[in-house]
Amino acid sequence: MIKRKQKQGGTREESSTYAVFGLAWVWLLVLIAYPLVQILVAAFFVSGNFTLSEFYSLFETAYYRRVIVNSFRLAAIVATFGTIIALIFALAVTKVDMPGRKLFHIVALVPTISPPFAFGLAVIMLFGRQGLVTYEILGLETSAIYGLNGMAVAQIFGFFPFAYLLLRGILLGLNPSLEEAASTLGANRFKTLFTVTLPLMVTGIASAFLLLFIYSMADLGNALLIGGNYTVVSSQIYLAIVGQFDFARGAALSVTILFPAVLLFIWQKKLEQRTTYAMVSGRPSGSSTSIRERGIVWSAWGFCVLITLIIGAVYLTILAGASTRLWGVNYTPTLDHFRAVFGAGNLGVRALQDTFFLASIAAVFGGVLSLVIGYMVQRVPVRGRGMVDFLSMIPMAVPGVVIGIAFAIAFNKPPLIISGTALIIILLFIVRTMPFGLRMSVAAIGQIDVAIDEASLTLGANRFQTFTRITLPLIRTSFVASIIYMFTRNITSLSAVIFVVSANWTLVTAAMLSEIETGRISVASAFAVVLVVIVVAINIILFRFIERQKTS
Amino acid sequence: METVTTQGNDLRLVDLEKEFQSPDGGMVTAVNKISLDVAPGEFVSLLGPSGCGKTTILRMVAGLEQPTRGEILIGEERVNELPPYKRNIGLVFQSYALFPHKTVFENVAYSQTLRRRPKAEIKSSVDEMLALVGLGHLADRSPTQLSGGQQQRVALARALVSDPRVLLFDEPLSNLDARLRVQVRAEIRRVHQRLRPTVIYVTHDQSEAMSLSDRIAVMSSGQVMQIGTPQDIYQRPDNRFVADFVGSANFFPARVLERKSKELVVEFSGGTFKIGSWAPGSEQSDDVLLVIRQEHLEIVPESESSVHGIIRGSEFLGTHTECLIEVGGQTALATLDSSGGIELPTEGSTVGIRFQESRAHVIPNTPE
Repeated sequence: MIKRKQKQGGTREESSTYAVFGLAWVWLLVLIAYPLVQILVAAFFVSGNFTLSEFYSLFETAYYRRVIVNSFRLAAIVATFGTIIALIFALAVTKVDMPGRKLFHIVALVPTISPPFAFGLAVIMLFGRQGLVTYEILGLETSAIYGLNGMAVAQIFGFFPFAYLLLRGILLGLNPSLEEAASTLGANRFKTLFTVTLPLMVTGIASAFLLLFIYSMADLGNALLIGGNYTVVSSQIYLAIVGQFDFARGAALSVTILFPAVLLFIWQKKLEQRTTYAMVSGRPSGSSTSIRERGIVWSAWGFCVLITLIIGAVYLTILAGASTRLWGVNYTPTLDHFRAVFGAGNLGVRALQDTFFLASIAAVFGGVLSLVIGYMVQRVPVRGRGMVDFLSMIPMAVPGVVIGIAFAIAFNKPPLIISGTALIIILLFIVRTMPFGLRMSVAAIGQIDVAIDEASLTLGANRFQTFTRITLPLIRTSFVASIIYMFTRNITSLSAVIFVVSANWTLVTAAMLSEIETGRISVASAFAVVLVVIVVAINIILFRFIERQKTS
Repeated sequence: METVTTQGNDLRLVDLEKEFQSPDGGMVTAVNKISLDVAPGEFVSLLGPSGCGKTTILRMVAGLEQPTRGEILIGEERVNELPPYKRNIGLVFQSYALFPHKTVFENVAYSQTLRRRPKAEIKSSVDEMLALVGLGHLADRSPTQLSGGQQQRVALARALVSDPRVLLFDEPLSNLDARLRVQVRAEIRRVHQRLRPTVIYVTHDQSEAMSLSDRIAVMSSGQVMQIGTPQDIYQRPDNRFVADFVGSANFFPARVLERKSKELVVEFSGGTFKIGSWAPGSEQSDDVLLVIRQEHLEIVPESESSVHGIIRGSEFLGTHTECLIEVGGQTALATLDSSGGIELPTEGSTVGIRFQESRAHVIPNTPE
């Protein structure tokens, strides 16, 4: 009796199963492998001949060398500070017995589902040339915030919640008896933290760092908004394609961040796996070792309140910007900007409609696809399923701008011309969000005892019947959750889809960007408010739904 | 009550082999050339420690693993190529594996619903099965509301309702506490006697195997060490592994002095014994092992036996006391009846050892 793995062993499968598996392969090859190969071709081949000339010219130009260094420097800063904040926040929320833990957690979730330039917008409105703090209050006329500082601040607070979620999961998974053992052996809180808790989390912390590094490198919204003269690769790619239609340059620039990003991603995944080995008990508990010392409680509480206020200030600023006449000049309340969004004949309504339409279709198809592939990967013993899993995960590693260009290049020429259509946006949405959906469905299916599937099979149900009658009903809550999550990511995404929107089909985030580019910050804020309200509302409904499912 | 009697098919495993890829890339043989014939209606247990390959055999019969080599025949039909859902076997899992989103009735009816049988027929057969396992009154409950023992009985009914050609049990009692285990065990025996399905029952618990089986196959490292009735296995083990795994046995190296047609005369620790029971292979060498069950080894005053030992320790266990005795460099366990008020021998004292020759057994002394 070999120790049973969660993945199922070796049943005979019928040809229909292989057919579904084959379709998954077609999907992955056409929509992930083909575009990425096309971007490599665009970067390395000039009129059919292999050449490194594009890269020579990149690295010979001092300007581009600086751009590349800039990207990495920014990423390092954001990852360092973001990880520190996330770690303290996670420790405080999971380990310290203080009021408002749940609120802190919920507030920290908001940036993970909000549109990409919310933080950049707020930073400009508060500290920009005509910022509320810098200009109105301090009377300064400074553009110091444009550049490294502003970008770093916007990214640190915009992205640290992702690291927080990761670290929180690890902290909750740690076996509390380890810390209890340390304290019964005479270690105080700090000794315990530094000798037991943190060493156990080392790989997790490193993994959070890499995650933020990747996010920072891939970020486009903030770079365009407050990058100023501090140009980074992602914004350069955008300018090369959208400004100069120089696809070769855009592709070459993409390659300079594509490979580091993919390597970092693989490294991060390795670390994440090792972290889970360190977690002795998988059962989330954590609350048993609540810290009650007054000094610690107060400083932790103070820290969390500060962070919560900063996040809150960001959204309040955007709300204020959206509902005052002209930020920095005239602070009279008005609803004009919302009218500009919703007004008849305006681009806003159409962008909203398009966004909802495309994002919903993509979320539903993406959800179903994730579920089917997740089931195959988890339960169906077909050769190559590990490869399918890996390929589907790649878009998580590839920066949004890169996959965006890859789509723009690959599907603008035979044999597959779909640029300018709704289809290309939908497909890009699905490709970008499927890794998340896939993780969710793999996790949900992994929760079900393999024996339940096997029972169904031995009782005479084939794969399809087992999937529809047993698996699907058991994971329906998580299935709905993954669709909502994908929908949320779709409507707030920018960096990839910006390259495939067209006159026929446009998106809210793209509309926001063009409002910002034409200096209409208030209208952009109004868009942001609308998006945040919608996203938060959807997620609250979802949360309620999940709670109800749990109790019934 | 009139019940359909399951007429099980015979099951044959022919040179069945299973190799797994081990994490370091090599191949591990989990099942090594196993051949086994199970008669229709027979109850055969696969008994062995974890890792011996017994569950792998069961899963191959169910179609959940593919054999590397060899054949599986159910009622003369080769089923190697059939997926699990075309084999018509019943499988009862250690973890019950009831569908948590279906009621007890729906769980049992699952296989019948898949076959699109008329509603009334389904109802009557499901009701009948639930009544058979004594759970008719719980049909509308959710399985999550049932105790472990009840859940396993539902699982049993679910496996039986489609009249499976072979019924498989994968350590079905392991998740139950001791008392329920005995109850459900009795339930399984009763159901088997009533419906007579062909059964393969995997367990590491010798008392389960003993109490339920027509025959037991004791397994170790992918091989069958011995197959036989519970009495055979217990009283006439073929080798040291079987004697050691099933029950608690003492092994004393002995020399064969004489071979007769009905008995072996052996010498051990200064005593000569005539033993009428020996395993095949014991004739090969003069060095053999004398097997004496713990409960058959008696402790007597030093003067009453020619074989002596030194008491090395004792444990009072309520119903009896276990004594650790050193006999000729070997340690042995003997059981002292606690009820008789016999005085416990003190540690370090020398005692006599005695056993009935008819209860001793000889096996070859092969190095393991």
